[in-house]
Amino acid sequence: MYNLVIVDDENKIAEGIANLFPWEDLGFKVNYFIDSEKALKYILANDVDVVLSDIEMPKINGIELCEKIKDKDIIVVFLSSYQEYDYFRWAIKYKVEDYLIKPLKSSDIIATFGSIKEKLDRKNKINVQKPKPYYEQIIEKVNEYISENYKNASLDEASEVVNLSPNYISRILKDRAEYSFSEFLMKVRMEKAKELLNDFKYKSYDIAYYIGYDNPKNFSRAFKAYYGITPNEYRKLGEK
Amino acid sequence: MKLKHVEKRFFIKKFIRYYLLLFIPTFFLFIISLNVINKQIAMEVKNRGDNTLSNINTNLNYVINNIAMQNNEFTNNSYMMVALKKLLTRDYIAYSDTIYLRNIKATLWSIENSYDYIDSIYIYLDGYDSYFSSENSIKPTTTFVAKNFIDSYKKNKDANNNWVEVLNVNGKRILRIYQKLMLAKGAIIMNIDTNEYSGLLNEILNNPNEAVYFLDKDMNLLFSWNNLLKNNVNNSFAEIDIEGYRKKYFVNSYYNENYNINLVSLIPKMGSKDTINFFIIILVINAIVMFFLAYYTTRQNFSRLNYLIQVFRDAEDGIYETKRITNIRSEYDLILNNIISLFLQTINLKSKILKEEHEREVAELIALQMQINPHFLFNTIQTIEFEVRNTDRNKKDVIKVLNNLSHILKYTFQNPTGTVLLKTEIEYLKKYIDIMNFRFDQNIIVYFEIQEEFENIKVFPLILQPLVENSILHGIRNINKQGYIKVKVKNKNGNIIFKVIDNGIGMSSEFIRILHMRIDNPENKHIGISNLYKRMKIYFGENSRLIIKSKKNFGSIFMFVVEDMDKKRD
Repeated sequence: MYNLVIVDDENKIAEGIANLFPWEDLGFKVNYFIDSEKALKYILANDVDVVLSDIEMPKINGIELCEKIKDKDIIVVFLSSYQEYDYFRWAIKYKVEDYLIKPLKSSDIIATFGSIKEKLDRKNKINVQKPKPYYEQIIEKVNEYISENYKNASLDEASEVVNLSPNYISRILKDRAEYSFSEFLMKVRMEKAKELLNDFKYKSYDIAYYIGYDNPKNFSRAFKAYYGITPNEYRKLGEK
Repeated sequence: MKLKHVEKRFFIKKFIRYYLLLFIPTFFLFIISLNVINKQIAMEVKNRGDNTLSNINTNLNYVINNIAMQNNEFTNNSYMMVALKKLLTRDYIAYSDTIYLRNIKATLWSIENSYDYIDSIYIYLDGYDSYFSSENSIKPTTTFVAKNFIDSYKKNKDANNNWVEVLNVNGKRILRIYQKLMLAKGAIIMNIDTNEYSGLLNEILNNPNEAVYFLDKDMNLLFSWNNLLKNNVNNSFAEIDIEGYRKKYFVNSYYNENYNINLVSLIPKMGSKDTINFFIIILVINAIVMFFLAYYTTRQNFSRLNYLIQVFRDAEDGIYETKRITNIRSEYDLILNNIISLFLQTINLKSKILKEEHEREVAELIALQMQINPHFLFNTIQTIEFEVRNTDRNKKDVIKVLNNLSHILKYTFQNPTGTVLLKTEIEYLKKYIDIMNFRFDQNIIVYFEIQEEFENIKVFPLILQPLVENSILHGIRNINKQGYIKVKVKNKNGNIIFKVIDNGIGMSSEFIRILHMRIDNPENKHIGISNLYKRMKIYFGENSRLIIKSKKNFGSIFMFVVEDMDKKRD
């Protein structure tokens, strides 16, 4: 477990970030502060690995905080409600790891902190080899997610489901599963399309929409690439 | 009305100024030249009079010289005198005497014949009862004619050597010149027929405007030529008061000392009066012409002035007439024209700048109102989201809406003059549609047919959103069937077509007409499509067109046809 300090002057946000994201699954132990001075004291006094800090704060703002802890080997992630050029500049100057925008999405957190975890693991030469059932469980969960959400399925959303970073999921699927994320999604969609095409009450372009294509032509193309015939040809075959 | 009155006053003032400006120098010029010409005329007339008199005098001297010559004959040739005396006493005349007499006779005769106006010549000697006449040789002194001249001779001989008198003989008016003989007591008398003499003068003078008077030393009229004083002077020996005529006439006089004759020439001043009249007529005509000139100029100036006033007044009211002075008559018109158009342009630009500045200020105020918001806004959304997660972890759709909303907000907050890729716009458009579906609890199916080469073209943010919003709010929201929207971007004949098709309630053609009118109205700020149309024109050029097609209860098509700046695609 790595030590994460969250600093935001708004209590509900600081508390929300600390409580509503799967920090433990991601491998972090969280301390959050509303007062940036107290946060600084804590950071300087304790062994902290990562700081997630708001920028605009009373007393010490995020950039000042960054400046004060720059000698310590701490990864900093900025958190702001708005893209501002000056903040970006400071972020680059202090080699800030990432810049998250409010409102935070689980996928953002998982993606960012998933990579940070891997980075830290590499640095500390920790080889996290999990037992085989762990991976199988993840693959099963992802496939289940895809089968249920084939219309709008995305790697980001999948990462929220399993609380692992998209990169990590991709790697697991690539290394250990039969299909990659997109291959499995395509498989599910095409099978669903075939099923719907067999039912004559659905129009071809509606089917495209239902399985997640907002351009019917793309659907036709994908269908043909998958089965070798167009949806219309498939339908005609079924008529016979 | 008040202004009209003022204008009229100005007009009159200006007119009078122009008129005086023209008239006064001309008037003085007239007066001066009139004076000069008058003086010249007077000089000329005087010269003419002098000339006349000198001519007459010369002529008279000729005549008189003839007598003098005769007188000399007698003076130089005493035999002649003796012969004459003998003849007059009817004494015996010697042969030599006869020759002399004949000689006299011939001389007188030749004089008489050479000069038409010499009627006759007498030679009279004191104490003889006969006299010699060029008419018929010897005549007795007892005749009426003889008595007459002998009386005059006797009366004058002591006082004068020469004299002149006038008398009527046989209906002729005769000018009689007496000359006393030099060596004998007697006189040569020459009778001049004034009619003939007048004839001679006619030849010499030939000037109907000039009169010549022969006066004796007491200024009594002897003879007049071309009498201009008919009422005052007849042929009697009226005394002529020269001074009295100086007012009306140019008077020249010459005194012939030999015969005590005053020669007077009168030339009426009428001549110069005509000149004055002529001058005055020209002056009057001039004055009239100048009147019209001044009027015309004033009116011209006023029309220009009125035009200027009108232009400036219009400009104040915000009307920028492009009408100019069309008939450019002078370089000043040209310059004025340029100045006016420059002025109008400046005013126009100024007012445009003011308007734009005002609009910009308003926009900035609005932007400022929004700018104080982002942190507040997104922090709030974040808080709400956490609150939702906290209460019910399964409210995923609410969380999604909040996420979509904040994404869209961030997207709309970006620099409105910046550009985005079309596919980015579509990404946000999908989020927007998700929110709308959530809001209205619908499941509108939206298809995107974006020609691949257009996915990465740069467009302005929110290029498609207003059209989709329009289709959802005004087309599909109120139908009871599945709503479809198709968003198409493709090229056609070198144009890019942005097309949004819906199967909504549709519009009547009358409604489309009204909609077009409302969209075209530049003041309309409340219709998203109107605003979009403006941005289309700014971004893709003035040729951008909006086409609306619709069928009631069937659906609508909103289509922008804009120029494809990358012609390679065609």
